[in-house]
Amino acid sequence: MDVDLMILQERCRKDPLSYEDDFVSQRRHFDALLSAANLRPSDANPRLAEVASFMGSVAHCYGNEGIAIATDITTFLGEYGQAMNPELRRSLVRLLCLLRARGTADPTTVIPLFFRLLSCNDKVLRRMLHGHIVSDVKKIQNSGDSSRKVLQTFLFSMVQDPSETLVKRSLHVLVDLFRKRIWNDPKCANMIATACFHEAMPVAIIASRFILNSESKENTEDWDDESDEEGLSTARKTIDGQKASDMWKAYNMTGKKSTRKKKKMERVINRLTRVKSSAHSRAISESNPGHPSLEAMMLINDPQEFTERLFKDLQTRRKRESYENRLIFVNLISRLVGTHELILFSFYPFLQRYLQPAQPEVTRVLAYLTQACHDKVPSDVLHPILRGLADTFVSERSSPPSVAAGINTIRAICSRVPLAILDEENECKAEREQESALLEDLVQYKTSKDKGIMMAARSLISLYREVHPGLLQKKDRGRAGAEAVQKGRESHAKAYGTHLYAIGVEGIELLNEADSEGDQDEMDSDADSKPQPESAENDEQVEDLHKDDDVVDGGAESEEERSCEVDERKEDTQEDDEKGEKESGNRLDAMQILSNEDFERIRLRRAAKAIGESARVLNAGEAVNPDDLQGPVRRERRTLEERMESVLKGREGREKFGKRAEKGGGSTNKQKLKKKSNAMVIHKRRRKNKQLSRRDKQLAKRRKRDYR
Amino acid sequence: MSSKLPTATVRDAVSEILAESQEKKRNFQETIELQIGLKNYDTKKDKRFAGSIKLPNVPRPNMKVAILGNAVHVSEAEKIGIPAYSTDDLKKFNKQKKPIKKFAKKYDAFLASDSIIKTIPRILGPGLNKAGKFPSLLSAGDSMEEKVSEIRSTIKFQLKKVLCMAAAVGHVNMPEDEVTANIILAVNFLVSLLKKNWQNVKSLHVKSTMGKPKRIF
Repeated sequence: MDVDLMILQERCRKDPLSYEDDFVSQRRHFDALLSAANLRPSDANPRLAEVASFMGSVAHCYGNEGIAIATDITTFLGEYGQAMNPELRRSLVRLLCLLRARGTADPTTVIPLFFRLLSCNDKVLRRMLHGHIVSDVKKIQNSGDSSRKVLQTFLFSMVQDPSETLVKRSLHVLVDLFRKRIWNDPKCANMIATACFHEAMPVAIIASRFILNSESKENTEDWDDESDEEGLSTARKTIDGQKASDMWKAYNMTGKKSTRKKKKMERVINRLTRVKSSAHSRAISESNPGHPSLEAMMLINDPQEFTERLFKDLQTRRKRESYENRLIFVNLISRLVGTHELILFSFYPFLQRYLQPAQPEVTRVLAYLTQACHDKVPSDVLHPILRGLADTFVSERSSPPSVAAGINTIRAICSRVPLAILDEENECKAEREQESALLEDLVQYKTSKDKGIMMAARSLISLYREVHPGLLQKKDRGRAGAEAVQKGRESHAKAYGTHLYAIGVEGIELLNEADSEGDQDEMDSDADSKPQPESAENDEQVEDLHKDDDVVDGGAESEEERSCEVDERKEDTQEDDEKGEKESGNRLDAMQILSNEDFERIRLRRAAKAIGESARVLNAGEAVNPDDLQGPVRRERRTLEERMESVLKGREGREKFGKRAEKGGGSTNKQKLKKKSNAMVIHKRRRKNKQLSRRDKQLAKRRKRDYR
Repeated sequence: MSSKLPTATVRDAVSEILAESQEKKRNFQETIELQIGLKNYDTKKDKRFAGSIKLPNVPRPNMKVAILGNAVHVSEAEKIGIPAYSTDDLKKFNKQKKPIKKFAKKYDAFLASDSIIKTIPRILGPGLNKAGKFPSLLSAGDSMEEKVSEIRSTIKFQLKKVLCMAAAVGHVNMPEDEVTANIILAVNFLVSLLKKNWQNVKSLHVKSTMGKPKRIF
């Protein structure tokens, strides 16, 4: 029977018109089977499955038949979907997928049906449905179909569904759609974000994990969301990698090596991998040019309200949740606070409860505390926290790793808010008299025997050398720090609320220097007209020059000839300066547009002058890695069991007391030649060097003969 | 594509804009705006950038600035006619969200004295911060007028949810040279912030509030 159906399928496809009668009879058969299944849906019905697959592959040849079949099956699945025999259900779903791919089924009815089926207790089916929904939405999105909007509203309504499992499954679909950049608009991100307030914890966890890490392709724990397409692409990648490694192997084993051949080889391999990736990215950028791929964290509407609500939830509703789950929320809140520079002062004292060395996962808590610190947090909020950290972590009673973690955390917080180390009274004092007992205490640890503590204390010192050397003791300031203190400039951290702004392109004066390098004559004039940030100073300079000119002009007539040249030059400068005054302070970057080459030159000069990155964190909002706060972890000596384990592992696949594998054949002739002792070859070499030309040989022979 | 934008193009665009605004006078002072479109910007790899720059010529002289100050600053501000609020005035808001929001909307920027700036988030709550108008510092030694003009001439580039930005770089009553200098400096600064400099710039437009946009790059 089955074979007959296959043959019929083949023929129907090739010549639909002449086999129409057969198709109609099959169609009738299918209808009969379906109505029979209506009565007892939980029965296995292999015949129906067979006919269904036949219908799926043939229906598109017979016009409107496909649509009728699709509606029949949709109603059937919609009615008995949950209670059906799993095998039959799967085959019917597959049929619907096929019809959908052929464009005969309506997506606005099929996808909602599939969503309802997602709550079935059948993992294979769910994976199939998930993959199909995602790829289908992608197709619809790209085609610009009108059903796009309907689908979107439907999917978003699913997130508010009362059934928890359904919400979970639909969240997975939405997350997948976002990560594949099909629906990565703010609306989708916010829809997922609302699920953070869902009563059920698993749902909220999925949503908050997504916001924390919207970019990764990492699978969530209870769901393997690898759709067919993704699997395919990874498979292709591995195939490419396999091919490349085979090619390398072949290259290394055979033929003579040369740089040219090697380069050629590399080029081929590069092309193998590169072309596809660029094509891939182009496809992405073309698919939706309007939306840059931003992190979901950035797309949340009204982050302040959102975070406040999350924090309130954490303190009330989710109080009884497990510690691990609550930590995820703490992480989310702290990331939001850091990224959007939110003001949520009650969060810091809330965290202080967890800041005990004995607390499980305390380094994570420390990292979350650090993430939540940013410019807009006043130091008097953070100082008590730092004090508490120092008291609980950095003391004689606590273990060296926890001391190191404590100092490292204090350093990380201070790199965001340098003034937090000052207490209330000290901050009000003038800059000269400021001192911090806390910092002084912590700096003492620089001579600690433990490497982690010592390194942590030193990094704290080097941070303050840069941001506020005045707070350190004289011997700790370092050369640059001491200089800064002496000059009184930049020796204190910027006060709270200071608005930092640039005056122009950073390092533009370096470009100027470069221009004047060539001709020494213009050197000083250039130096005069060098960009000065303060216009007041520039004014003074101009006035000075005026005075100079007056002096020169008022001088004796005889002197005029002598100073003629100087005068001219000065006048030039002055003119330049005055023109500069009119035109925006005479900056080069306000006069002409810099090109890429100019920027490159500035970059090089800066590198040459070793103007490095500052230790102070300017761009808060990045995630802090807890391992960074921990300090170096010394590897403990392994126990006997561990050692035995590795020994036994090494013995695997080896004979007992095995010898080394036979190499076979010994050394090659070339190797032997190299090993030969010098005494053996020296005569040969001498003779080789002495090789005479033919003519010389002839002459030598003749000479010998004549001599005789 | 040429990586360099000739200065003459900028100058031409500015003179055209100024001429257009002269032709059809509006009942307010039109602002000249620089609009930037970016490309090849990978939001994952390249960090989000934000930078503010002080332009040589004040682009928005009509910007409303308010002082949140101690007694000395309040009296000084009243003398020169800048609206000022003392801590007691601010406490009257009683942390209510609506009035604070309205208050933040009324002004374009705020300055706060160094003695009270720290208490402001506590008194006013997150309202000002939410509106993106967190006050800047006004120390005891600073001249108030200078600080206000500094704020008026500072513009901020910040990448938000989309790959385009806009900033005010002048107004139509400014001389042409000043507008040009402002534009050039702003463009240079912006391009210096980008990782691949000009390769990240898709388009540059200059337009006045009611005028037609002019593409310069």
